[in-house]
Amino acid sequence: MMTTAQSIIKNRVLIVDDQPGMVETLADILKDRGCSVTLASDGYQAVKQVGEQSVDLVLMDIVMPGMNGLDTYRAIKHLRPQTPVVMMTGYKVDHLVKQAIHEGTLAVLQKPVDPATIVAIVLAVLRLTT
Amino acid sequence: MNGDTTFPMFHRIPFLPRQLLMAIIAGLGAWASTRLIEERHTRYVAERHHAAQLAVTRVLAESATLGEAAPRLFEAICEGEGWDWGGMWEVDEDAHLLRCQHVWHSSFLPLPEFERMTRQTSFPRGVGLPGRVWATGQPAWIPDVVKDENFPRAAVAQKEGLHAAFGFPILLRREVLGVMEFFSRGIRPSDGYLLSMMAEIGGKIGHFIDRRRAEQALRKAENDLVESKLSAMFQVAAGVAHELRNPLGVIRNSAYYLKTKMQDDPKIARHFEIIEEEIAASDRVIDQLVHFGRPIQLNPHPYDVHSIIKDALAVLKVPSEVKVVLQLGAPAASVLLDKDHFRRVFINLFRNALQAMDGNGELRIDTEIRAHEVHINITDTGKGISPHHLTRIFEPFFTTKAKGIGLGLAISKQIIELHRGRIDVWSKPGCGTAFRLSLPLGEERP
Repeated sequence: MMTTAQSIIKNRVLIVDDQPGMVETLADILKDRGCSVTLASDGYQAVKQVGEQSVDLVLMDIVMPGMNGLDTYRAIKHLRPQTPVVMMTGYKVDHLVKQAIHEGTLAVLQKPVDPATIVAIVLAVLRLTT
Repeated sequence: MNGDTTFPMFHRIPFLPRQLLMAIIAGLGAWASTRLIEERHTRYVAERHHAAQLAVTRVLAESATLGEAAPRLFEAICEGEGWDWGGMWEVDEDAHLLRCQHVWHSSFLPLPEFERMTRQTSFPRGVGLPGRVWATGQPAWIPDVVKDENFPRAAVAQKEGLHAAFGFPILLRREVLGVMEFFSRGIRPSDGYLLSMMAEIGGKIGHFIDRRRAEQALRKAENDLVESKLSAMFQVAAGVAHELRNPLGVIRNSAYYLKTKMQDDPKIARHFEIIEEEIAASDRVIDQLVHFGRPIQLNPHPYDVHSIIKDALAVLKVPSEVKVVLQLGAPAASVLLDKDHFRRVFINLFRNALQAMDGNGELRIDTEIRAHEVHINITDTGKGISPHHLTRIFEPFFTTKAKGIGLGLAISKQIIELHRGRIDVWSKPGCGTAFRLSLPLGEERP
């Protein structure tokens, strides 16, 4: 059963990245802005978590070992079609980016991404989906 | 027996009629002088041959390519030996034909029709003068081409007054690489000496071609090696740069987090600023290394150049002592271009200008339409670039800055040229530097 608070305030962010430093720092930055953050170090973990509990936003790297960001996005969309997903990429993976946008990814951020930009985007998306 | 029988001639001389004696003396004189003229002529011809041979040797030594040597070879042979027109044929091994590559005529005697026909004709083995030389691998002489049975260009030759001809093979180890042919307006009997000399020259030209081919192959191999080394270097550089991008991102996040936690102390705030600036600088290097050596993909659309200039300026921190003067005079300077790439070009040029001024001076950006181009002039009052460095600033990895890897201008030039534009630079050390970007206006897509 969902609590009343969770159904009104949308602040649950899932960060998916295979780089531990990246998830940890982003988590601390977003927690400071009032987000409730969960972490996943690869696509499988992310899909598992989304399956167990819905989140309000997924922030995810595109290039990851194992299941890449696009496949993870497809799985999440299958489980919870309404979940907004923002992707980040440091590689020139135009085909993945194009396909991800085509299939409905909210935004793809090209690394290096300014943390202030991430904060602004995350807050804007959460407010939009409130 | 007396002396009469021993020396009858002398004994009889006094009895010869005076006129007869005079005639004999005159005859002897004429014979001697003819011999003298003949001897002189032979010596003259030999000297001429020798001079022509020397000239050919010199031309071959001085020329880098056969194309460069050809006109001078014709000149040396035609002018040295008194011939009016020459053609050089090359064996096309795939088509089994001789094709005319070069022609030459003496400055007094253009032969437009013969020349046109020669250029349009190709000969199989055995046909015409060149084909004959090709088939036998030997020089050939035709006293009068008009009367020759195996000379397809006879009619045109007659029309333009050509008669005698000879040809010799350009030989390399018995293989005929090509044929040279020469024509004269006069009818001339075969000259065996000239032909044997020309056969020798043909061998020299063959060696010349062989040597140049070998040099070319060597140069190509060297270039390929340099290119493959460079490309391997770029790959490694791009790979390393890429691996640095992620940890740098983490550092940036950490600095950002700490900064929000420690806002009160101005000293600490300043240090965070420094960290951020240095991360941004490192990111630029990474960006350049990752992008360089990779084919640039353009996504051109019509854009207002002025708005891209303003966008780029907005990204940069302009020191308070630097005055930025914008004179965007080009009306509606809409150009087909890739906005993201051009933003990088402008940021790079503006940043260079700001760095050259070291916090103090004037950055002037003006635009104008000239003919079918928009010109964007970026002028600074910075320290300038020495003439010695100016010629190298667009080379990859060339830099005069203590920081930086020297790819900014190389990439900018690449991007501009992909848009069919140009970048020019003027500089005066101590006074400043001006860059001009010229981009084509109009609907033509890059």
